[in-house]
Amino acid sequence: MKSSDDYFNSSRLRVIAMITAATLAVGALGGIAGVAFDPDPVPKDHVIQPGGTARGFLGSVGGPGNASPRSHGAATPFAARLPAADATDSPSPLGTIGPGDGSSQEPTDQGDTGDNGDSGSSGGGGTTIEATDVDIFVPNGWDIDFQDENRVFQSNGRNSFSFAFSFVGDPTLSSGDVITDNLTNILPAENYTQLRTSDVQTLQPFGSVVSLSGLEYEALWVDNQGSISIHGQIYVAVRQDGTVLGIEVEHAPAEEFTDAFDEMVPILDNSYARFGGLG
Amino acid sequence: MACPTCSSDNPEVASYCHRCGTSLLVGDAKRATSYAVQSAEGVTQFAVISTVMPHTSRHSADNYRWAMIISGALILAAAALGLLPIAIAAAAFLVPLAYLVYIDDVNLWEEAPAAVVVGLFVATGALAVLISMFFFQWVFDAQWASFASGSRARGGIEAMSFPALLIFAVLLPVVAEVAKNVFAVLLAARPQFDDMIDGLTFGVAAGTAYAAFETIVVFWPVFTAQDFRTTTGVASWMIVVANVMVVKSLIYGTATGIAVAAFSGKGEGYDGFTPTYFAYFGLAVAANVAYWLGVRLMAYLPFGNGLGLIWGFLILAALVVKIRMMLQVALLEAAVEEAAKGDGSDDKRSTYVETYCPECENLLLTNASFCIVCGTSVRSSSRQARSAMGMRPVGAATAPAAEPPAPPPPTGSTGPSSEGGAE
Repeated sequence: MKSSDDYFNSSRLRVIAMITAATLAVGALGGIAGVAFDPDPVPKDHVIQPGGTARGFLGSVGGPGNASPRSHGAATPFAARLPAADATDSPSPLGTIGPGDGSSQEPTDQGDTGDNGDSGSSGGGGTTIEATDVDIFVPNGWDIDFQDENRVFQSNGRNSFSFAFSFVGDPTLSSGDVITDNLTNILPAENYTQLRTSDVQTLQPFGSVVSLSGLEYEALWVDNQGSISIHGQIYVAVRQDGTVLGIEVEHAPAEEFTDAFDEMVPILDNSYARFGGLG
Repeated sequence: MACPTCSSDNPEVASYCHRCGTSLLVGDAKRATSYAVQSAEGVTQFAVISTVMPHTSRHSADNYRWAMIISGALILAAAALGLLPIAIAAAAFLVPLAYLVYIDDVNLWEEAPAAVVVGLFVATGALAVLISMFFFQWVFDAQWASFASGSRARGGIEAMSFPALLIFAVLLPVVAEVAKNVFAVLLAARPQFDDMIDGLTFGVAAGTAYAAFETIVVFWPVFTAQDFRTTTGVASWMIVVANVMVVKSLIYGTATGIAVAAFSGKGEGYDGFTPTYFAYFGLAVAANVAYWLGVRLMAYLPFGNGLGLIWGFLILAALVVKIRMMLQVALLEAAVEEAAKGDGSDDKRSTYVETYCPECENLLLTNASFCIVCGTSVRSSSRQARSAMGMRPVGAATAPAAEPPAPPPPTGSTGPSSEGGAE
């Protein structure tokens, strides 16, 4: 009489060994690919002096050599925070910003502020962040995908994106601290993995801006459907009256950031120039 | 004892009719609790291995469970250590590799598996690469990237691009399902592979192959990232790896398996592009669309990746139960039809000689389609078991059975016809 085990080509040990060995072999191939396909690192030296007055790169603020992954948890509690999408109350004791009332304005191709100056841009329009009356430049070819009373999100359909936020805080706020304390909010760790950042670079204030900082980052974004390499920058400016304007520009894939950056610079230049009273 | 369904004579001790599988137990006329493929399990039981690998026995299915548990644990360990290129590659191919081993183990189509299944894997994988590159990199890359940049902190679901949602959660699953079906259906139309279980096997193989190659394309940035090992977002990656390894692969496989099984049909010969096939193809598409819509929308919630994984498990559970119900009905109905045609001596899907059930090792009668003790269908036995049963290979061009059966015992009316038997 045949045992049921005789009706199969492989014993239990053989089945387990074959599947495990094959899995390990494919994993090893993946490891080899991970080593073999490393691209040249994208330098994190694109941070500019926004404002439209002195366009120019500030040089390296943390290239690959000093851009090791860092902990971004706030070392000390800090009052001003971005309105999180899942927040129900404003975390800010300043009482000046909140997550909005859930309503958002209808996205528009061009904003309603008309003249936004021409500080080196090739033309465009603008839109106003309602809570602070801050104008955000919208270059030609860019569309506003989302806007509420504190935030504006725009894209150009060529993998470049810009996210602007504004709220009223304390005039003594340090723009660098605003970046540091909001980094996990802007770049949530659940999706922005392998996050490498430059140091927060203190930039030259201008006009009515009293504090201005920038930071460059690169990350591997992930969700259940796939992953994307991303390279971007975050700028935050604090004005004399305590109004804060943060603008993030981002491009995917990371290795194309340098080429795409020129399209994003007008957003930074024009928006901050107007914000500082120069536009 | 005469079967109440097909009137075949069965021994008084029989719990199931040897011809049509009807339960002869009192109060179980519809056989709602005993799965015809593996009788120890219920029809609606969420048992993945015995569903996608129907030719395994209760014992051999355990081999695959352990192999996948061990391999899965190693993959998750690699993800926990942040070794993403290793974890993603291994996770993408775990189920397809296990399936290849299974097909070799049960020697499903004698000498055919190497050429047939590897060819199916490669051809479907090539389509998967092309389609994935088209959607994720060549044409809709900006829409794809919009999911990343328009995340929760930047407007959340209100910032989501609706066209992008339609492209990646509706259009792509439709196109992908067509691609998964193409080569599987071509094979299922061959006369030697006309059984519904063959169709299911081809569908699962094609679906898991598509999932594996698509995963490599969409997670390609993992292989080109600056860091070989990541130390941030490891929890997210473990969820994603678990999703890729089990949920996505099996959703793709089971959904396509359902469609191609419907193409094969329940009886001899394949049914082809019937309304039933298109209904089940639509079901496969709907399952994929529901899965990706859920994943995409839940990404805007806190712990979105984890919620997407749970959502995927629910879809997978529904698909697994659907396959089991489909096979149950098909095996029983096909057996009843065969029983109605005659004594079973011409039925190439029933035993030719008395032998032993691969599942419970009790006696299998001649011309039996089911074990009278445990009720397991002989159609779900391995190729080796079917050779021992004297079942004739399907299709004229197939190779002769490995073990020519002993001369049939004189069992009266249930004896084999003169032209029967293994070549």
